[in-house]
Amino acid sequence: MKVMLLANEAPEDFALRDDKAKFDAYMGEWYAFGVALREAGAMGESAALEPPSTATVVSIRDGVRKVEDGPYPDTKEQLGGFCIIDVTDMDRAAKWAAECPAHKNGFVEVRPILDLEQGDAS
Amino acid sequence: MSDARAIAEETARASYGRLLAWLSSRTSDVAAAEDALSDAFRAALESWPMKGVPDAPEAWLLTAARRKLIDGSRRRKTRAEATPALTLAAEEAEATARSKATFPDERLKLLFICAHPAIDSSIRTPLMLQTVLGLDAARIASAFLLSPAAMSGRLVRAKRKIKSAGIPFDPPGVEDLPSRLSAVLEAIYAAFGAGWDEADGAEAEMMDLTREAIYLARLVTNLLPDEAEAWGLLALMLHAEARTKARRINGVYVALKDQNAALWDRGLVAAAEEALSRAWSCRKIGPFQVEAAIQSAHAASILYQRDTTDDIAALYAQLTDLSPSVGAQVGYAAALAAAGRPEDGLYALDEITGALAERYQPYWAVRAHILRTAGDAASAVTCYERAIGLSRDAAVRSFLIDQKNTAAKRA
Repeated sequence: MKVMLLANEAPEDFALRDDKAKFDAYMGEWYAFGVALREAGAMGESAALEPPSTATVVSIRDGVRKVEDGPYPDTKEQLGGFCIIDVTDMDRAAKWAAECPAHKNGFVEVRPILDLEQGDAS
Repeated sequence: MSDARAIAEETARASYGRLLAWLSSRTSDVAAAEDALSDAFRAALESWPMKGVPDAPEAWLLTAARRKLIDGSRRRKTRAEATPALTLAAEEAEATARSKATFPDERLKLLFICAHPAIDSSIRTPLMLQTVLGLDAARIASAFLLSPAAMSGRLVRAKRKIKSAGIPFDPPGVEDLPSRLSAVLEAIYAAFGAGWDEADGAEAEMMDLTREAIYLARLVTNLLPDEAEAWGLLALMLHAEARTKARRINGVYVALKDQNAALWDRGLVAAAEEALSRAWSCRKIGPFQVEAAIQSAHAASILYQRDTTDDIAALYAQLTDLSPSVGAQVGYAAALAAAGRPEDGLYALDEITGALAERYQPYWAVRAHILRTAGDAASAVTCYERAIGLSRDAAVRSFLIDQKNTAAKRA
């Protein structure tokens, strides 16, 4: 099954990206995580995202398009990147998620990819 | 309940759980397997008590479920993958049911699935009662104070998650076993707690949920006989169950030390002691075993007039170490006071701080009791009033009001 790991990072993690002294260590952890996934043959598509301050939220309410400075400030942690992995089951996916660097200060959401081919109407 | 009826119902339930475990672990679709088996299970519960238990109960159930399986696969043409898998699994199960003397028991997989960390902890117990025991959603809903529609909805969502999130049916590996097993045991204990609450309410005849919990704990000890905590949980629940008749006389709550031991079910006490000694023999200490040992010491003090107060205080100290909780700490305080150390008891209560203590009824009841014994009647009355205000249960409340009035006379 294909599963997306959504890396939700804490503000202090995003701050590391601009911290010259700590940037290498921060990126190094992500790099190692990617290498581990690739070596296990589990790695699908992945990307890191620009920080939440760059986000724009678009919504349409009553036919009116509204464009706002984002993101939704519901949580402290914000999406910092994602990767799609190929695993046998949720337990394997959860083990990978536990190795994802985002979990130290933030959290990782594990979401199965909707398989339209299978036609599961449940 | 007649013996024949009890045997029939127990066999029907065991066979249902085994078949459901078998079918759903092969299709990952608990809901579809339940659908297929539900009518057959109901038919078995009607027929077996009268006509006797068939030689191959699982084969009987599968034959009865056949029409539903075929209908189901027609109705669900759109769910391309799921249904052929279920029909295939059912055929395999049927062959197994006919060829083997006993149908393989894979209910452990079902227990682990129900208490999987990816399943919301508040739905684990209901899920277990429904899938492993075949209890209907309305019955479960009443025990958990939810409307049947709300409970059904939550159960459906949980089963859908098992399927779509790819939660594996394989039992956990060695590394995960302790935490996964403790989740299973906690869900079982929660069923027991729900049964306990029910028994406290008006509908005392509904308290069979405690028996269902004991059944599940027994099942775990049968399937994992080397797991000490499973035996510990079983012993703990059997001790509590043994005292059911003595715990409440004409709706009035009777504290353990005042209970009439002649009303205890001595068979259950013996079974509890046996389970506890099985637990010790595994040599792996855990909180359920210590809680069971505390109940065992209480029982011994009443049955054999032995002073076990020091033992109980030592066990509570161990419990607060193994599994720190407000409940354990309050129990520790009460045990210290009972062992003639009221100051230490108050000190243990003072260690609990914040909102946890504020709204915890036993905290105030124990504090009141210790203060009263220590001779501070005025403070005791104030604490009793807090405890009374926090009691949900009418019988416990009137017990506390009596205690308060006794204290007030001395103030």
